[in-house]
Amino acid sequence: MKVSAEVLDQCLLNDPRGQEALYKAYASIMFGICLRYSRNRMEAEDILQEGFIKVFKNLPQLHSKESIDGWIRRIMVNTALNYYTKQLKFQNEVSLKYETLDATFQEDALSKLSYNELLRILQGLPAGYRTVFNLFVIDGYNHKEISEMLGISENTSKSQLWRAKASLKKILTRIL
Amino acid sequence: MQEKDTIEEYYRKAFTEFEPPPPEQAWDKIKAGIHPLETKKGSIEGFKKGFAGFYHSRNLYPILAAAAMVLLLIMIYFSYSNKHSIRGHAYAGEARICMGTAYLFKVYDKAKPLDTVKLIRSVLVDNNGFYQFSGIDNGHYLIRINPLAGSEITRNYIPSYYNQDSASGEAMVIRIQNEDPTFDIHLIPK
Repeated sequence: MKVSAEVLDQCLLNDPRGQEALYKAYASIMFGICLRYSRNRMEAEDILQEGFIKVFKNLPQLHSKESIDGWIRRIMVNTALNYYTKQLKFQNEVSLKYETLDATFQEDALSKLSYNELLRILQGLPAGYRTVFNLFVIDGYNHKEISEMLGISENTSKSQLWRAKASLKKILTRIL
Repeated sequence: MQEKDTIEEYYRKAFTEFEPPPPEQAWDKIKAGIHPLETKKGSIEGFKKGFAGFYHSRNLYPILAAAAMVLLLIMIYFSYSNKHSIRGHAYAGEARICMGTAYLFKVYDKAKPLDTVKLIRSVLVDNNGFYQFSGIDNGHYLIRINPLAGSEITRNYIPSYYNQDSASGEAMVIRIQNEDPTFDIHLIPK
């Protein structure tokens, strides 16, 4: 929990000082999430703004102050998903073999890439690949949860993840 | 190390701690989204936002209702201020007639003959010969008095217009222009 209970109380009273304190405490990490789910910085800024407005408007519905970290994160992820709802086109893949992709990268090779380079590669993925990769790999949702969040089957979620990783591998092979 | 572990783990590790600086101005935009009524003094943008918030505010309803009421009263005032009364007495010779009917005709074009005018109002003449038309717009009119049917006056007088010439039958068209005039009407003897 990055803010005190007093700050949350101020937010519940619609006090701009408390709201600004809450924003400053979570803005960086939430902007990181927005950047991962978006195609570019401009869209990430839109998602960040929309997400925080939802946070402040829905704060009275927060059941436990201790769970605010995850609560804000979920709102931001859901805002990002809604932002791209119309763009998400998932290809159902029934015949994919989820074989392990050839291991060719070593961790020290990847570590040469900066955050910005990794982000740029991720943002370059198709919306469906990028979304499932973010949800599964970084935000820790399982395929059942992803299928419910996106309204797709678990197999589709798995195939999107596999395709996302295959695309990343292809790009990284070219770079490294 | 397998690629699965490498890419997933590396991305997970890299972005779990990923906290880029948020964009400048973002807080101002968020604040404007949650506090639309707050404005910057002297800012046109602030004025627009403030006005939009005010316009959509429920606080505006009583003010709108009061404004509508004031507007209605003003309209009523001006409506009645442009209305006039025409009054007078009807005479048969030197005496006021007892009961009868007063008719008011609107003359839209003075060049037209009398039978093309439009009857717009009729009122009773009281037993003291008094009549009154109220709420009359500015314009040109003719007034006619009919004595009570069957009364003794009808035997000696004919229904007559204001200032009607007994020989030619022509009557005077009266003009109402921001005034409440009095017109006494003398019936024409048979």
